[in-house]
Amino acid sequence: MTAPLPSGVSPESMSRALEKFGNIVGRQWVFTEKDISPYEDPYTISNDESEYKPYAAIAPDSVEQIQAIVKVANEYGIPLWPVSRGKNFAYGGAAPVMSGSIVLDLNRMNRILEVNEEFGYALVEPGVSYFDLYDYIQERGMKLWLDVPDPGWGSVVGNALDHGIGYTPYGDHFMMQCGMEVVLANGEVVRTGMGAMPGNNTWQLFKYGFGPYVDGIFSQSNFGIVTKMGIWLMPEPAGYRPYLITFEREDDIEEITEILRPLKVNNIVQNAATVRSLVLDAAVVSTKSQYYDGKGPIPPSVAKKIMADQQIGMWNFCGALYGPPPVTDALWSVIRDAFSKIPGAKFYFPEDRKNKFDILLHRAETMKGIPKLTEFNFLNWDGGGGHVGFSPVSPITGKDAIKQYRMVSNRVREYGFDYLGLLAIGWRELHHVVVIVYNKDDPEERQRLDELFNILVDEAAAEGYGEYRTHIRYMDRIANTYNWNDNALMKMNQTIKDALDPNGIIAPGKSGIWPKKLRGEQS
Amino acid sequence: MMKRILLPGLVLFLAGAATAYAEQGRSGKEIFNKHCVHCHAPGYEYPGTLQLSVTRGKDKGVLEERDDLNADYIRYIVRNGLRAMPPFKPTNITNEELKALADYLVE
Repeated sequence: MTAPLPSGVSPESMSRALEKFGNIVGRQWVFTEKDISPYEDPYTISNDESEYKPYAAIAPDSVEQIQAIVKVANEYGIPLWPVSRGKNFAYGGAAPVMSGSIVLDLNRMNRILEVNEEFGYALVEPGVSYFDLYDYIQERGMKLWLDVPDPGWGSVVGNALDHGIGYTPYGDHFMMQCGMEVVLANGEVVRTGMGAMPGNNTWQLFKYGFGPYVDGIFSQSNFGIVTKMGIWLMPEPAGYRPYLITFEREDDIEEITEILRPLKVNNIVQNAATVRSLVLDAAVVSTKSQYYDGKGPIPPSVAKKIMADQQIGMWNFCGALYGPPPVTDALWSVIRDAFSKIPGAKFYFPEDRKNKFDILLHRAETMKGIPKLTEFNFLNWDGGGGHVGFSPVSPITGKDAIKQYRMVSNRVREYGFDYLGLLAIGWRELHHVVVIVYNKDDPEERQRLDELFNILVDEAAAEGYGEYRTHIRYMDRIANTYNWNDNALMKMNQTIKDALDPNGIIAPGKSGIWPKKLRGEQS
Repeated sequence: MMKRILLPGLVLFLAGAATAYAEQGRSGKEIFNKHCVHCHAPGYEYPGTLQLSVTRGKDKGVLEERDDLNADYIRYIVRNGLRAMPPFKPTNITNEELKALADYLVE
């Protein structure tokens, strides 16, 4: 169906704006009607076909074109929905929160402007994927490693801006961001940090520059359009040793987490390591039908069979050691001794694995920054194709880990889905990333998922757990859980929004932030 | 399987005569290697290959080894997605490149 026009925009205004956009980017880079489907949410949850529909997409290839575009958007009140590559598929892909928005597709801005081996950084445009940057480094034999999320086709810039995570010691992507260039809604171009100083040569070396550190307000936000970003890259270490530790019982997650906290806080566990659930790991290397043809979640007897076949446990701690062998040997002895306290713990290096296609062998590549798509085999687990991430954050404590696990897994199974979860160990916190895989073509299943997701958000918030990132459908709901002191944070965000983007042209509704003219319609 | 059993000399001849190229220069094979191979290379560590093996049969898993593909169908799936596969934007694969890709997979 044709997308509705955005609120307050007449057909004539949209038509004139599209003509002007075509003059700016070239008519072949304006996509409407039948050509717009790649910009819709491929794993839609909503059963209302009018929701999350872009009216058109336009694809500039320069900062100057973006400046001209925002000028036209201001003139006609056209909402733009910027996407770097638009492959954030568990969270809506390229689709906008507000139907009728025009997707500002930055895929054509895919220049790798600099890779500096001496200092370990890259300066890239939003259209650069992890595959692109990896190939660039490999072709030149540079001794640098990327940190990659599971989808290697994603944008380096977009993932960091959305607070994405990876699995090397550089796993917190926004922490590794250094310096950005932003086009504001009024068309002005800003460089942050040291980039604000003419002739300076430390834009990608020192994050803070002078004065307020503003980079953060351009992440998960609609305050500007990021057109360049620096990202730190890890020098190739002198040695690398990935490992897997498996645990037999569901309740082990409590003790695993207690052991992990001091290891991570003291940097004995060097990387952004993950504790992964049985079905998540099984779903990467096998399909559900190989083990179970019943309805709903797998029963415990099937879990035992999978554990035996695949040398995995109910929980699987995937980590890696980085550095010269004397260093990694010493770190390993501490890690091994700490986890040996848990009855039934088993320790593996890659050479200990019996299956050719194996979870450790797969994760070993990801934990050294090789971009892939293998993780998305989990979409084949039950054949349904759709997936959405529910990702509450907690402290690294056993009490929180098992509480979250029980809360979420019980609800997920109650609603007929398998629990595919992982605990990503950050510097002080756990990201409990739960992937719910569903049949995207079944309206009943989508409705059931939607009901489940809303309950998960509300129940987590009631216990003080907030999501760090979400699908476009749940941005308002989750923003509303960050409501301390009469929504003081949202009120501040709205003040910034109104000051920087008074006509509300950039991404209305992103992270629950609406421009003034639309707030009444959302309440 | 057809493409894999051609004699080396014949492959060279066909590469010059019939390999699909987009107007802007990238061959269908190059487009496949950039955008498709991460899901559709041989082996079950590639989600597209696994999906096709499960849903269509083990002999249908590897796209480059298929001899039953239709160019129009390929173009439709690339733009609209199928099951877990999301659609590809015209800024990732242009219409000209998509034609070259589809021609490569059916030639």
